[in-house]
Amino acid sequence: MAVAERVAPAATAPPPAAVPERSPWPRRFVWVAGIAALLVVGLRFAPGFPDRFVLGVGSVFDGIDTWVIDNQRTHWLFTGLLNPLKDAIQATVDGLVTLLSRMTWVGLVTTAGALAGLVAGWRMGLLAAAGVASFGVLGVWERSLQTFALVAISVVISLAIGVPLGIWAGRRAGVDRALRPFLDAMQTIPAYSYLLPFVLFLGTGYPPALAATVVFALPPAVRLTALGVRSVPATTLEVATSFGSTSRQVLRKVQLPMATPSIMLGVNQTIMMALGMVVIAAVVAAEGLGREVLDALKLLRVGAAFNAGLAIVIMAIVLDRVTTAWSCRERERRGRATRIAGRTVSRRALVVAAVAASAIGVLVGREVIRQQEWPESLTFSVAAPVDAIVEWSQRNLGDAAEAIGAALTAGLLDPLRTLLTREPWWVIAALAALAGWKVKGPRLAVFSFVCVFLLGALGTWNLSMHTLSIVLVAVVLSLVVAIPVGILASRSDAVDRAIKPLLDAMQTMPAFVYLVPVLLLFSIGTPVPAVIASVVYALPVGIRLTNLGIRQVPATIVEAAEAYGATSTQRLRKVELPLARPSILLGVNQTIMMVLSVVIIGGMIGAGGLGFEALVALSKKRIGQGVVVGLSILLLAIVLDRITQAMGSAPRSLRGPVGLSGMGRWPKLRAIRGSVSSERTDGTNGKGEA
Amino acid sequence: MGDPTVSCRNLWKVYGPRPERVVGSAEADLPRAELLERTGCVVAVRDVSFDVAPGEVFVVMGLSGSGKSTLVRMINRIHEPTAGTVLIDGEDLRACDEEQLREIRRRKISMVFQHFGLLPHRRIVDNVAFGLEIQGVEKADRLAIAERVLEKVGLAGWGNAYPEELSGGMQQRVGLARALANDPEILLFDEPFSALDPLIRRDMQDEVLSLQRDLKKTMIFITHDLAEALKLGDRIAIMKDGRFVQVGTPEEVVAHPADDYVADFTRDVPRAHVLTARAIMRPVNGEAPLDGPTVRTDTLVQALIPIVADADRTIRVVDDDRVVGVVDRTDVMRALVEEA
Ligand SMILES: Nc1ncnc2c1ncn2[C@@H]1O[C@H](COP(=O)(O)OP(=O)(O)O)[C@@H](O)[C@H]1O
Ligand SMILES: [Mg+2]
Repeated sequence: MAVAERVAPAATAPPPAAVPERSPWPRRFVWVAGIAALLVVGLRFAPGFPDRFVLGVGSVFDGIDTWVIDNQRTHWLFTGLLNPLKDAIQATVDGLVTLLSRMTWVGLVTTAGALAGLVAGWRMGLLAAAGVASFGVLGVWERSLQTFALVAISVVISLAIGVPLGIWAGRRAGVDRALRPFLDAMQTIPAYSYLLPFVLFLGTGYPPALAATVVFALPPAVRLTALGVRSVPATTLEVATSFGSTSRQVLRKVQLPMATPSIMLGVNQTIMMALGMVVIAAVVAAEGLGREVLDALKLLRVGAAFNAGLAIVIMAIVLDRVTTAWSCRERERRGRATRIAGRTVSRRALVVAAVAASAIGVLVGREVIRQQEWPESLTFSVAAPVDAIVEWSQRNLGDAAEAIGAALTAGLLDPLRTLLTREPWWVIAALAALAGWKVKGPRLAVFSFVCVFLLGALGTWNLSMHTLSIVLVAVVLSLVVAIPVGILASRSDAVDRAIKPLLDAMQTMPAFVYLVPVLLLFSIGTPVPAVIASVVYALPVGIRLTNLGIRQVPATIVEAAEAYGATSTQRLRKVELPLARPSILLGVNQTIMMVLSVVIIGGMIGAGGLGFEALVALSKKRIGQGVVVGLSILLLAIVLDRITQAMGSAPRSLRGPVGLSGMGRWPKLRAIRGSVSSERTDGTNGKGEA
Repeated sequence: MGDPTVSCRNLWKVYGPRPERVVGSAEADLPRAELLERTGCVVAVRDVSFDVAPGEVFVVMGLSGSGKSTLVRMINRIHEPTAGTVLIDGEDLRACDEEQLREIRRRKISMVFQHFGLLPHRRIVDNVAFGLEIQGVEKADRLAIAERVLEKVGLAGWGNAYPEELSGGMQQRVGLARALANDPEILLFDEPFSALDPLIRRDMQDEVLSLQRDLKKTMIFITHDLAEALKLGDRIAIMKDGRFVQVGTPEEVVAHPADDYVADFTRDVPRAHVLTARAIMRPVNGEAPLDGPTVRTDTLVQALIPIVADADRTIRVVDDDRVVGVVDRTDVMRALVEEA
């Protein structure tokens, strides 16, 4: 590609100027002292952001909601476009829910089992059947159908848009470049912050929920499709061209088949992202499991919330495992006949059998059992036992938890928040600029400064600092646990094997679910539950990326270090950690973004800050406030993301073989879920040309 | 010999921004690094001209980076030449539109690739039938042809396997079969055997030679291995920095290297395996003996050795029963000694 990269011959290039060797300590000391001095000086000035710089951004938008209400029945935008769209979405989701109910519970359990069995093997069939049955057992049958219908339709729409877009981007570098900032933004902004416009224009219920879910779930479909198409080796394309393929033939016969594993991963990701939106969908009054969780939490009925949350987790696990097994099997089988009990069975026979089983199930349900809903007598809600556990633990562990919470609040959260809110805005902005300068250069410094200034100008300074303080505390706590565990896992295969299933399970669960068990112990109304939940939520990615980074250090380099007599600690400190740096820093970046998303959601349960403000704006439909808060969240997310991302790519020479830089946040996480998936997405991983 | 099948005139390939301005300019002769510095361009192929006759095996040999792959890719125009002409059976390739170009690639020219370039998601037969599929041949027909060609390259029965299940040598047989399945007039090989073990490489070279005896295709064969070039080539072009430094028969290249660069290459070649009586014979000068053994002009020195050892006199070299020269022990020994 780039001429310079391919040809610059190492032998003729002049050697780089020697860098004088110096101990890092004095410089680091200067930095620390300088920052401390800045903070101390800052305290002598007026805290926060001066009112006279605050722009009335909110009021600009405040007129919109009255305009919407006035014109809803008359303006062409609504009568011609939005209202029909809204009705169509509502009708489609309702229709699917009705269809699913009419299939009856017997029919659904058999159909789920038969379909999953067909595409992913009989074990997955059993898992799917058991999963569907569990919705009934938990007593959330109707709610589960609603959630499933919303998720299914969102996923279909996301894929219908995302896959073609991804193919286009994969074939044309220009399209890819043009799409990238949008995809980045869609993946950086917590979904919560863009709900309001959807509510305003599409009302409440399924339509805005579906629209927001599609926005949230689209990026992985586009990215992984594009990645798959792009990673078809140039030589393979050359082969196709040399035999006289047309562009369409290249796409159909080479690029698409070879991108299929990556596209399948994209499907999996899109489903998981859509499930992650279930509770947020409930915020805009969409029916479903999320609604159950949210309502229960509002009434502090932890047991009921847990019960519905469990159903979400089960749905997530079933869909994740089935789609993953499906793509793995497709790869292995590649159109060969399946063998059952030693005899080959043709694909068609299997399809016929699966369809027949489903049909029989539906018939039995409709004509023999004659009952659509899961029978009452077969339910067992875990709400009561969970409530008992809550009560027990509050009685016995409540004091300890209270103490931990108090310590966390008094020791970290409060002091940091006080510091951040007491400093004048320019100190914070200067610190962000310094960080930007140090990791990347003047452009990022200016960018960071401006973003922080805008936070103030939006008029959300104190809320933002509040949220920032919680995020920083949670990030530090998460990393303090994750990095050592990751190192441990990289050193010992036994540890690695032991924690892998746990991490898999943790990464399958939607963020909100983490809040529920935390609420068992920590009282609502303080940021503590949000901190704990976000720490736990972000742990897997930190652990995984540390582990992966160290394990990816080439064996030859480790061998060389050992040949020179390095001790195990020396090997870690002087070879493995430096080489794993990019991966670990990617982990830091991911941790921050994940923590931020939970802290924002945590606004609902007392974390306060921007998240709470967003909820208020949403429930009172204050569009101006909503826009301002949404923009603030966006700014905060972008600054944190850019700085930590640049950190990971700072020293080029240290950039490890983690070939993930072209991917967004979520695919990255997933690609790292077991090295399997990173192989699956990127066959050329680690063998990059340049 | 008739008209050449492939004819290239003044071919240039320059990579980089606005490559045309470099072609033929004084800058083109600058050292690589300097040219890159000044123009951002790299000259991969410079001013190359050659003809390949029907049924000829034309080998291009050069070190890595000398421009061989680029050159061969301009012959089916997967790389667009920066300047120059390529004639295929007299038809100007660069004047072709997309449609004509595809037609030529589908019917006339097939290529065998260095790293095999098999499609991992397809069975072996489907890989072999790929070119036919692209042409729109019916499934049953193309699979039948593919099976036949697989048999020809010694892979009968492997059709249902997937590429990853085959060894490197077998994979390249599939690559060869895929190219042959189209029954093209011209075969292009880009270092097809470089990635193979020496023993397997030898088998594959023999395979190509035997196919060539049967099918009489026109072949352009790229290699960085001189022994391979000498073994396969009717003529060899030695390439350096994008230029042809010498074009000739194996014997000419070994016997009369054009410059030190070529001489350096050929130094280690066992000359007895390459040189023939023609290269080492002396003119007759009236002293030709009227009887005794005769040898043909194309007898390898290797085969001459026992003959001169047995007959302790001068031997006649004949071409179509006409005596064209003589050799004796001294000539043979001199030819062998020059090796050192
Ligand atoms: N796409 C490209 N862009 C820039 N330079 C290239 C490109 N392809 C090849 N080159 C340069 O052209 C020269 C010839 O390359 P190539 O034809 O691949 O040589 P060979 O096949 O003999 O090893 C090399 O110096 C290579 O760096
Ligand atoms: Mg090459």
